[in-house]
Amino acid sequence: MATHNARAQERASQASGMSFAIGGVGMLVAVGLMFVNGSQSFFQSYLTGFILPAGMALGSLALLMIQNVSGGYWGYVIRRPAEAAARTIPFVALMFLPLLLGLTDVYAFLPKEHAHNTPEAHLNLHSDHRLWPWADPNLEIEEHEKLILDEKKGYLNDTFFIVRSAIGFGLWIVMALGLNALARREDAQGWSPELKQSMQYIAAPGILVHSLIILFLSTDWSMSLQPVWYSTMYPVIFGFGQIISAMALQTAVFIYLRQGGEDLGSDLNKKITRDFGCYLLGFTIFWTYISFSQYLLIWSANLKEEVPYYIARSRGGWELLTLILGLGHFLIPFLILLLREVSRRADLLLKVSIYLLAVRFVDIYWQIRPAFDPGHWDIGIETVQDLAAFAGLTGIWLGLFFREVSRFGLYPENDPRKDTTPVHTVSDDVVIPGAAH
Amino acid sequence: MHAPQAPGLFGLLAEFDNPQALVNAADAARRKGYKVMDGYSPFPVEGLREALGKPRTLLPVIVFCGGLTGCMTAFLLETLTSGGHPREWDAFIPNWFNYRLNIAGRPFFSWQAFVPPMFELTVLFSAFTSLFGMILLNGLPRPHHPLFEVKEFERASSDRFFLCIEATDPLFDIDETYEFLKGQSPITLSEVPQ
Repeated sequence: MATHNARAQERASQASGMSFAIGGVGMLVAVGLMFVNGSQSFFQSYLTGFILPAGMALGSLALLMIQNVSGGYWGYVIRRPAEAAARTIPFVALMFLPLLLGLTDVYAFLPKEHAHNTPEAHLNLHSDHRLWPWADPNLEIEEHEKLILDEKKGYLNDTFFIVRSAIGFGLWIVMALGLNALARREDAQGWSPELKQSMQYIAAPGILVHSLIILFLSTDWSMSLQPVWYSTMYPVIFGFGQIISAMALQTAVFIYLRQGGEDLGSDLNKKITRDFGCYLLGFTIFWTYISFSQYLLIWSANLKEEVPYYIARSRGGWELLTLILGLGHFLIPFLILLLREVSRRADLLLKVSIYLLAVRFVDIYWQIRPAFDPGHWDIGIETVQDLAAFAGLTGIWLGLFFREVSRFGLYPENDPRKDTTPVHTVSDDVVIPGAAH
Repeated sequence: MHAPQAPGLFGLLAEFDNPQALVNAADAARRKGYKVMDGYSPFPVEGLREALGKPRTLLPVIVFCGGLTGCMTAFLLETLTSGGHPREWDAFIPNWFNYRLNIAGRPFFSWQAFVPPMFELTVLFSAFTSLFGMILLNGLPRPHHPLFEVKEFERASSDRFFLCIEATDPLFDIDETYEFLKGQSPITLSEVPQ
């Protein structure tokens, strides 16, 4: 076990270095392109790239809290990497800070002429001075939009926005560091029912608090980019997207760290990867369920302030991405994960989980980007900036995450779940030595 | 089907008092070359299927096809009844079935609205296929089985584990098989009449 741990730590350090390198280059390219595309485009790319790494960190915190309450062998397996991801949340808060400049005049300090006279431009409010259109005091809008925005002024204003983000990150950091402090105490003093209970005292209300923060901050960060539009399903889609990203990350990390060192085809590891596969399948189906029901409800109701969200995503090139999302985020992973063999072969499952992280970015891009360019999408220098900012922020975050992963062992040695095994009632997972297959 | 090696005999039944002994006996029997045999236990035993050398069940594939049938059934039913198909097809669709309903001016082919029933029928058909497929693949309904003639077998549904090597197995030989099963140290060893 000790040698495996050493090897896993080495692999984590390698991954950390590589991620930092990719992240650094990506960030440099994104900042460099600011002088070509203007600062407006930079902030838009930064927001698009920020959502996925933030989601992996916050989703991991949610999973960490859920396993504290639910139990289960999968929780024992993901505890260490999920704790590591939770420790990065203060850094995620730092990554968020530059976005606040999008509320100020700095947003437009490198102005550049953007063609916003496309026929679909009316599908969303556009501001050249603020990242979030509602923050622009001189916004040019029509009368019916003004009526709606004036009603929302009490919620959508700079001060309250900053207060909400600060409270949200504050609570997240308290929960993440609290659970980590208890985990360190468990390492030092050994497991005890009292310690377990203390963790649950953070985790159980934490799940509720986390959901509420997501409700507010998903509205703030991304739904309010289309300030006239609203959907009560959106926070669920946003928050659950984080859970999928986190589970895909945990799966990939579990397999990556053990490759070449540990036998991933062993009975125990096969059961673990099968659990991960089942989670990913269930999560993919649930993502489809919530995403489609939001669309179906808005399509059926056909209301003037709701439909522009989908019109903006079904024209001028966006219909292609919508199609890719439907096939790539539902049909393909659904059919692949239905095959039991995939969940039991670590090398395949690693590819599937990395693929899922990639389509998570497509989903986020599809949610955020059309707010700036409704009904108009093409691949250009701004797309390069989007990808560079995404690679930059995700790379730097992964670098930090893997550095945190390498600090402690693969498993919490004092967790009593160590002596249990994943429960399966099906006999298919057991291999009798010498049995014909 | 091979002719029974011992007329009037269904097979030999060995009784064990723990699942591991059953798996070990089944494993030994498979290595010896026996093929027509089965294990009986009050609950699913890990590894028994592999030990018996039985292929994996086809049920998942059947259920997938069932689900797909449900999905397509709903899709076609909705498309054809609401007139979502091209007008040229009207000639092939009976009039009593073919309504071109104008619902709030939406297209006749409103696939968005078709999805919930497609989902429901997928679930319904998969559930039915898995239930009835399981029953049929298990050879049920079957009012009688030769094993019921053996008194000890009653405990197969409570606390005993059985391995039955059937007489139709090409390797079956009443004396040799008897000796082999005896070597697995069962609690009891019975002949099962046809």
